[in-house]
Amino acid sequence: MQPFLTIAEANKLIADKQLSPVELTRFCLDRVQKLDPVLHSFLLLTEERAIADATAAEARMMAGSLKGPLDGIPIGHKDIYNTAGIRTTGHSKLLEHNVPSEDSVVVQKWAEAGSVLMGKLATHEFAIGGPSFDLPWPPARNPWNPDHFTAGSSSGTGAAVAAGLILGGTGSDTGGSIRGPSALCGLAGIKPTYGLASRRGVLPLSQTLDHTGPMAWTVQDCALLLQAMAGYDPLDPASANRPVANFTADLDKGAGGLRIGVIRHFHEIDNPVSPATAAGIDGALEIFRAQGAEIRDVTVSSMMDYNAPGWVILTAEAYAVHEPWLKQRFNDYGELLRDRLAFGALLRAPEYVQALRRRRVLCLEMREAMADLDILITASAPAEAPKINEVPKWGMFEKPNFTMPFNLTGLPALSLCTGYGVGGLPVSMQIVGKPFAEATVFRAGHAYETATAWRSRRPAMSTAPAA
Amino acid sequence: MDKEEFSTLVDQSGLTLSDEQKAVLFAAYPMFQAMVARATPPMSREAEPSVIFVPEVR
Repeated sequence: MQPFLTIAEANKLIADKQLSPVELTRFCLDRVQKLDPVLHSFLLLTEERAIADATAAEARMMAGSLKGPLDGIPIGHKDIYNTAGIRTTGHSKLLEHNVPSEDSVVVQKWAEAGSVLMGKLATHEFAIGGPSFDLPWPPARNPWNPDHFTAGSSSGTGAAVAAGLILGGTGSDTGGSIRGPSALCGLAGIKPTYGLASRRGVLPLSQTLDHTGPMAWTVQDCALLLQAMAGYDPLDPASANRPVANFTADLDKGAGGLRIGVIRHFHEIDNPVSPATAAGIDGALEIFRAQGAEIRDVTVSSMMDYNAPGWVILTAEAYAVHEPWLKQRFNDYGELLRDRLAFGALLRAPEYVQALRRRRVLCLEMREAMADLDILITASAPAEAPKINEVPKWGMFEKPNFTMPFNLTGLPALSLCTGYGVGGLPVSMQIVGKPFAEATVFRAGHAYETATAWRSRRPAMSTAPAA
Repeated sequence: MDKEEFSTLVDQSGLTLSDEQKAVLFAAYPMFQAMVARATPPMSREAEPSVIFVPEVR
């Protein structure tokens, strides 16, 4: 068996009866045993469940009744997604022994699609407080260099996919928690349009900013995973009641004819990026131009103007979610979460409402900026991953991040790898689409990925021969 | 706002923090206030919030 398979590749082999889902699952389980003592990407390995899922998939394969592209594919879920009968902790002492009785909607959908549940993945505490060293489990490490940060909060998914422990997994994204770890771990990860995928059964952080979404090695795999998780959920008040597009239909159309706007001031002025990150974006624009895309710069408000209401709203809503525990069990939280959320207690009601009013103004501005464009491009992270012990507690106040503007506006936003910079660590860019235009975002991302060779490189620790 | 006023503000919120924990938050509070100020510039009286009530509750 090839040491690394994408979901699309594994699916083709399984469909052709050339790959056993059980063999693939055992291969991934072995890799978890070998690498996860360093990576800490899994909070819980569900080995028996994985073998049972894989055995069922194998029976369907032999009977010619495979369910689709995820059948027999090893995946993992961020440990804020409820899993029936399987511990779901939020990576927090407060839910250390929590066992939900029902699956979240996305977990249920991926299970119905035939995926193989490998286990529950590390997260920053309740999807905000990290990297933390004072929780019941250690933080996940970056497989490109375990001394470095994965970003978060979907840290375990980022590490596990990059190292090849799973082929895809869930993340959640309130201010960048899918796209941040996708960027620093060298993956593809999409925060879909707000309302496209159900949030029901996922531990909430900030209800008007929370999104569920997939992370995988390639853009194509993200499209396959999102297809299996998108759709109307009448019991999620934010869910959009509209048909789901075919996310893979346009994948091979290339970038020709796309109208691309570059929010250059975000990554050149508002938060200047590293040389490798800048070179990656410039290289991508050259590729798009060569394929026939029309490219021009776009100017919107400063990135900090988008970040400020986002963080005010997030802090207020997250504080409201956690207030009872913060008042009664403040010291049971990790230091990073409790300090970041404590400010929510000091916000005044008019400040939250004003931030919501400001949000609408900025949504209208972004819509106007995109009126005659198909996608926007900027960075998804400022630079290569920092060392894990050098991540500032108040980083969100000091510099604006590249991801929050698209939580605030709800637009679909994909992070994908654009090469490797200092220390061989990945760099990335972000492709943003119009509401519910994920297919166009995937089309552009796939056009870039297939025109470059970045996907052929994996972290050295994953490719090293067994001792 | 001085340290004592900040301490009173925290106490009024209902959180029970040690003096050391209050000091950590007090040091970062100006950055948080700057963020809040940037998020809440003057807007017209008619400006609508991004989240509005929908009567068809489901």
